Amino acid sequence: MYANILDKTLSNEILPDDVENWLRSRNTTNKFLLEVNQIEFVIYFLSYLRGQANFLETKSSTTPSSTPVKGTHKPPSFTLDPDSYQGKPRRSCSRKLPLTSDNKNDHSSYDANDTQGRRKVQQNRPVPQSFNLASYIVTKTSQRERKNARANIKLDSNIEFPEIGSGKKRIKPVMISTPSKCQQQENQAPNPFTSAPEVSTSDVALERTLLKMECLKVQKKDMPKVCLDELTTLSRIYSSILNHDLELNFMNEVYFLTELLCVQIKPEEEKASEMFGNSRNCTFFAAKTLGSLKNFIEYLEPATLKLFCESVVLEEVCPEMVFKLRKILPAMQTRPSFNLNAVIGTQVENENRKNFSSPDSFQVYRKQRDTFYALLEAWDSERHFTKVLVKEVSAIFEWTPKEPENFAYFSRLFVSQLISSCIGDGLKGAAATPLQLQVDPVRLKKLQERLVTPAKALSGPCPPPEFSGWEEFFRDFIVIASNCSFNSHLQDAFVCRLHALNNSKFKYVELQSNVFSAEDETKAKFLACVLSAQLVAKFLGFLQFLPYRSMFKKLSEYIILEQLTIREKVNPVINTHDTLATAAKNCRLTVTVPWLCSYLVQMDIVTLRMPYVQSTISLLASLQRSLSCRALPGASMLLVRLNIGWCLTILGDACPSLFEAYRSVNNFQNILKAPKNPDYLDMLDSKSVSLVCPFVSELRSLLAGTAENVKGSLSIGSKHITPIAAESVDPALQLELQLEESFIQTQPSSVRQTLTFVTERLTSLNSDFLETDIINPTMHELDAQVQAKVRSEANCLDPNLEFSGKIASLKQKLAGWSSSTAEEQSAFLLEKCLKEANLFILNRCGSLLKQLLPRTVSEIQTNAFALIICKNICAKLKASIQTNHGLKTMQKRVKDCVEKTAKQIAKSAESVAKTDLNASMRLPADRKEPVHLESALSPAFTLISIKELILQMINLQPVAVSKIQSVFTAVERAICHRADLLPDAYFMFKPLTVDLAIWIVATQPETMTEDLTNNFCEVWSGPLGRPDQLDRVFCPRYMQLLCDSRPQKKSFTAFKTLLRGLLAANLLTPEGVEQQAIGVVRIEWPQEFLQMYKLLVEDICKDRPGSDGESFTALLPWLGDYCSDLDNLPGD
Amino acid sequence: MKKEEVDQIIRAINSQKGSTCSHTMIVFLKNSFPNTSEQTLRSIYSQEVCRKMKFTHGRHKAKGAEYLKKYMEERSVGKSTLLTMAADLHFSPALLAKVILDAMACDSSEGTKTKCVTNKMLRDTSLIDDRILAQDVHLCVLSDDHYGPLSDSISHSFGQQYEHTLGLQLMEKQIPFLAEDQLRELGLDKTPDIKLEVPVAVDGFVIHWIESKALFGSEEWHDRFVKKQLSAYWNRFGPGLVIYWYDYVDTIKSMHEKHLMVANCLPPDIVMMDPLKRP
Repeated sequence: MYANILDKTLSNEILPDDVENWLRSRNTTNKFLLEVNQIEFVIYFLSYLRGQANFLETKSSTTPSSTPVKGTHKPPSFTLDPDSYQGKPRRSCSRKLPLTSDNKNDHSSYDANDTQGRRKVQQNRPVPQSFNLASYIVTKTSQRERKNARANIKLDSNIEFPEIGSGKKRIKPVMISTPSKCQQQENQAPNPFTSAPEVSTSDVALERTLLKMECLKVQKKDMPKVCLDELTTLSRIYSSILNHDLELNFMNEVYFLTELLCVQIKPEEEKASEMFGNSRNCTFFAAKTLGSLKNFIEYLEPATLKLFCESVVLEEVCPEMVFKLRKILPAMQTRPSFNLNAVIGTQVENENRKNFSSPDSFQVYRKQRDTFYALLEAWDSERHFTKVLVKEVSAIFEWTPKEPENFAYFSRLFVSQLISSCIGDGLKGAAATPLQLQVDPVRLKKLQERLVTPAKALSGPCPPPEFSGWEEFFRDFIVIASNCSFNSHLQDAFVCRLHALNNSKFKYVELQSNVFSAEDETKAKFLACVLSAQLVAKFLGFLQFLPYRSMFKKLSEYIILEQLTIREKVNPVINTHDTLATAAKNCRLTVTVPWLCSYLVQMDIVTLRMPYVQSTISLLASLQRSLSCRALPGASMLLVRLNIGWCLTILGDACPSLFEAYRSVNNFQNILKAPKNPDYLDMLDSKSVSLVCPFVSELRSLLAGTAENVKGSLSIGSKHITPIAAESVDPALQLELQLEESFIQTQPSSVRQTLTFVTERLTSLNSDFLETDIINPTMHELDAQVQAKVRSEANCLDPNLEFSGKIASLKQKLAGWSSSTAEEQSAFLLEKCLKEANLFILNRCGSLLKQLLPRTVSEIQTNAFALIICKNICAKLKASIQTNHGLKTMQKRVKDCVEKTAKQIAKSAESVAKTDLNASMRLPADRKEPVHLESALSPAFTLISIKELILQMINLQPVAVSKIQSVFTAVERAICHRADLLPDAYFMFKPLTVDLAIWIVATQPETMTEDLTNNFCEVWSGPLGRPDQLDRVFCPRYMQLLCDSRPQKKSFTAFKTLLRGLLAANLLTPEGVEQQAIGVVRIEWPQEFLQMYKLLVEDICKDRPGSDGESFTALLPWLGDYCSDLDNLPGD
Repeated sequence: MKKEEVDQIIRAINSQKGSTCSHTMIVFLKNSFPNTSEQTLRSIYSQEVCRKMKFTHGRHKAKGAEYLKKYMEERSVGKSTLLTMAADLHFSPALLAKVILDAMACDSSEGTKTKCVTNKMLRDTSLIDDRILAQDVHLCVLSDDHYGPLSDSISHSFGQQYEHTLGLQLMEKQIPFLAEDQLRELGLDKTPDIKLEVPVAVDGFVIHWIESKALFGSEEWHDRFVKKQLSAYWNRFGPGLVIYWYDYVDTIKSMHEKHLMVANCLPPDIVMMDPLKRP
């Protein structure tokens, strides 16, 4: 029936217009069309096209084929049974209809059994393969088709059996007329970086292009009229299908068309009987259809568009499309800029000691954080987890105590770093690159990616999800860690972040009544939000479904049902159906659909069979069908369409209800449009689409790989990347921006949110204020001024002049004045606005920030924030004034006013300049430090000087009293006038000064006069404080020094002087001396020493005869007697 | 400083066979390398001594009991002191004193002497009951320029001195910052010497913090600092500056250039953030 419809359409029995109308609105009066189901006709039609283009399988060595399409010269038979439809093996990944996929049940390139975290990149990636005989054995094509196919095999065909080495080797024409140069080169050492001299590439390219164009013209003329009409009709139907969302995967269709566009069939292999029997027909059909899709094509990435623009065929068949693409290409060079901060700064408000249950858990978190960053660094150089790194990952979770907050904080850090590394990765290096090099961070990132990412083979229009670049690190980390606590916390962190991202709000600007748009800043924020959500969802899916992943691609129905019975009772982490329905209702599909698709494709076979997932997939399919009714902006529409198409193609087989959902017709007319919501704010462009849907780059690879019909011979894939910034940016300005960005990015998120809030509020308030207080009055004044001028000039006019003559004369007279006035007023308004805005913002900003920011933010930082906010608002304001009240607008206004006033007369016979905002960043006043004197000897040098004195005395070198006294001064000044005194040094002064005193006593006792003793006592009772060592002044070591000294008597006398001084200064108490003195006799001493000691004790006793109630106890006299008794011991 | 020059100095240090006291070595180095500052030479020498000690310390520590026995034997015949013993063993006198004290603590029947007590004794030798040992330990601590409480106090004081000087220089330049103790009050786990309140730029490199090091920046020490200390600052606060006041070997500049900038003084041409500069 469908074949009949198509035949009738091709033979014009059914008008193509009718078919187009029917496809668009399902309303028709045609009796043939009334009898058939629209969707089933679409499916038939797409199968028919694939059948016609079956040779692509054999032609294209780059096609990611799985099951090749067999040759069918007639429309293939088609069954309405959805199951059989899904099971049709005739469609390859690139050409097959959307519901089939070879990647079914195998949604990740990750092997769950690979505990080492190694990636199996190639395993799941479709490998380019050519058509082979085995394909005939495994496919289910009809007997007749098989016969045809067999009949088509030609052993001598270069296509089916190409010669070895007869690939796509390009032969560049070498100019043979320059022998001298060649000879010169032969004589020189071969340089691997220089190529052989060539003919001028541009000349050759030009000649080739001209030749091809001429050939095409001839070919088109040669094309039979019937064939041309049929192809045009087919193209019209196909375009209608694609333009009205009747296909399930748009990318598949565009990829198919691109393949047709690039196809080359040798003349000897052409088949006149087939629709796509020769290159001309293929390219004509593809170009014609692609031309009708220009509204979508223009949102593809610039490199792809450039290749489309260079397509000779496309230019010939559809020049208006190429013209349009060429026109928009230069405007597409803007690159999205991401947050350059790759490292997640410490969040003081959360990550401090107070927020941990114990100091130990805080220490553990500190170690975890440091090890994690060390791992990141190490992995960056290795690009895989070495054995050492694997051990370190395990170590992170082995430190105790394992408190929940450790896991929670670490998980949060993990998620933040994941987003930072994967979305803004590679830029950290650029941030640290000296500015003099003028490095373009985006180019540098591209270059880095090329260097660290292995070259990819063509993956087809629906590549399976994979983890590449930094994603590998995070994925492998999760797998290697295999820690259930971490996994749980990480899942929580992912879900939390996903909710936050999904509910992000985006600021809009009202352009006209009910027309809304977004500023560049919001667009960048939106893109970052979409990409982050996509990434987080991918990892959440990976983490959540990792335990359910099976190494087998297919599971028995029994196993699936068993698992389903259990898992149906468990609440899902994310209610995908409700989330999607809410997004559709709130017009937030552009935010939700990309991450939801990323999440769904990570699901395992059993999860995909869960009712909530089935309903989600059905909802996705119906959304896909209703997209055109939503009238989304082009890029938003393409983004949603591509994502859903990709997701459904991958999941198709696992979802039996998909076909029904695809066929079901909903009442799409009830969709409410909310122009303020993200879907309608037009926040996306081609670059955003290619970032969110990376598989669109497959088109570029396909075009570049088969760039035969493209003018330039250089493949895009091998394009050189020079990471030098093309545009010269003022280094000072760039540095300033970098500093500001860096400053803001290192602030806690709460601070950043506050800053955003304050900026938005102040921008709004400031706009209102300027509008009412500055702009409107200025404009009124200007009008009044113009009117007065016109009136005064009108008085000088010849009263006899006619109406029009008067107006013309006035306009002529005031032309120069108008221009200069407009210029003056424009500059004045700008200056006045900026000046007033500066004052307005600063007056409010400071107080607002003080109230809203946490106390940890210092006044200096608050001032800096205020300045940055002020400058940012002023920059926006400046742009806004220049747009809305710039010179041209002002000139127009003056001109209009002159004309209006002149007409009135004739009828009746008639800026924010810079304020001095030197809110200098004041230094903190709360620094409590001693008055620092640089002239005072530093503590380190004071210690050294005391040490040197002691060493000098040990070496029996005399030390002058003045030198010793200078030490006292140095110590005193170091304590009182050096802010760099450490407690360590302070406490070292004490034993050292006591040692110094004892060494003086022992080595040069004559120096230890009363004066010097007093000096010591002053220091010890003064700034230095009493040394504890004085409690041990009779310690064995000091006594040993006295014992070793010569002559001993002098030393003991000096020691006595010292003790007297200490007692007099109350640095020692008699009780203390008593206790210490007793301790001495507990150790064996030479007789000579004991005699001297006895004298010392006696002298002290004499000196302290018990006056003032501070007398020595009876113990000291007893000690004196004891030492005397020792003298009388037998044998002495 | 160029790597070749540093290697030359190290070769000169190692060429001095036998036990050479610090003072003699420094005089020798000063004569051999008149263009290099004394502090730099001292620091390089100190690092070289530390490097050697690192390898031998474990071995010597294990022989604590043996050394104690030998010391006691030789002391009883009035032959040797700890200082001469340390010189014979090519070991740091202060470390030997500590090994001996530790060994004594182990021998002690009281069993109450702990590592903490040993350190206290090293710091205040008047706490040692054995008067001869006390005197020997005291001399060891005094004469050791690289290890021991006195040497540590001196090096810490130098560190503090330069840190303070750095603070003064920043204040002079009107660069607001938070010092280490202020950061500690905020409850931060890692605290660089200086955390700039508002980042600055030097040669186009954005700096968020500064670490002051009163020593020579050799490859080995720099790498150690980066691993133990500086990378933690980087992953918390972003890139920063480390100042080796006694100069550094030029090869370390490129070692962690993404995260760190290395200098031997506070760079004179610091660019401060000034949003008003923006057009």
